[in-house]
Amino acid sequence: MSEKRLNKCFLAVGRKGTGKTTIAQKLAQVSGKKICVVDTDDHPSYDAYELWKISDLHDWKTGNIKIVTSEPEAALIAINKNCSNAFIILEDAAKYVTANVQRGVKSFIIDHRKRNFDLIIMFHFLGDVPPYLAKQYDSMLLFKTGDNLDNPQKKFANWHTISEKAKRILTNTSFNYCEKINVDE
Amino acid sequence: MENKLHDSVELLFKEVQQPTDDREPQAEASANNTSDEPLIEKEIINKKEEQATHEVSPEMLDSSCDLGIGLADFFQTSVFTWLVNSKKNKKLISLYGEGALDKLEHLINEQDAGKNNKLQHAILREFSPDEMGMLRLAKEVNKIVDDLPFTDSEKEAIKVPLMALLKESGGSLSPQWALTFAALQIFGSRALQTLTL
Repeated sequence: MSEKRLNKCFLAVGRKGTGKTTIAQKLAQVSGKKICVVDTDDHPSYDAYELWKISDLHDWKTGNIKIVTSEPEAALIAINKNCSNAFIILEDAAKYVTANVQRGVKSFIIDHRKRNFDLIIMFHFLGDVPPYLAKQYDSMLLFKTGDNLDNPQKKFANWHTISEKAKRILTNTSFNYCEKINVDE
Repeated sequence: MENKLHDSVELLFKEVQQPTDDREPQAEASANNTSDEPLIEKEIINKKEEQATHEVSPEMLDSSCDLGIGLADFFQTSVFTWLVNSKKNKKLISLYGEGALDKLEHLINEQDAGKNNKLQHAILREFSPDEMGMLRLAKEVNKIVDDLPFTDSEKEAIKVPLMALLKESGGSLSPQWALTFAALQIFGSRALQTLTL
């Protein structure tokens, strides 16, 4: 029997079309957990996922689902309250995981281990990652981003590593190329 | 996405395959919830109820717009009055010399006295071409200043998009801002009068 690991909070950062969603789904699938996608728009990549209402979350036992809502905070509170043992994908998180984040969203991220949730939070730019999250994530999947890499983002303690890798990623010929960076790297 | 994954990503995939400890949902884990999630939920509901009770009525929206437009009108009138007068003074001095301002004041008094005594016609005949020029300039400036405040149609033209904007942003001015705007209008006029003395 394999050794148990701690729950993880991943960031996936990259421009549109770089493959964040594909990698996020693969990662979620290999975890063997049921998957829940929280999104503010009905992203076509998740067409295979069953659309659920926030109010029905207490009945979610198996299968992959998506919650499409204009109130992601309410969705995360409901997930935190009614669900456990899942891989949660927060799509287009720049819309609701912001610097002045709502308390429910922040609590969900901070408490994800209590419910055995692995998280992957998606952003288009490094600049969109709020400061508290820049210190809390475990690993980042970094794709090609449009950030100005010569302008240091001090919220990341490992900015030097991030900027070096980001430059290398930008020069890679594959548009979908990505690398993993740990928070303590 | 058919490209080979970077080693670091491959490792991550392997790591994620490792199991984690199962947990129960919070709702089942504890009947007496000690965590603060329910509190947060309550807070959100309260916030929403609060927002609902603060739903903006058309009257509130209307008065917010009027306050905003009034303040903008006050500032633009004050600033342009000061600018026009200061330009007039400079022009008078450059055309008619250093004593032009005093002379104009004297002429205006004279003209007013003539008007009061129904002798305007007679007195105007005695003004020199320079004096007439000064009076004309003063009259033109007064007309510009009189026309500075927004007209009703201008106010309406601003109000329609402003109301739409306020509606879209979900509200009117908060009571604090309404008070600040009203106070600015009152104190601002006094302050500007003092400053431009």
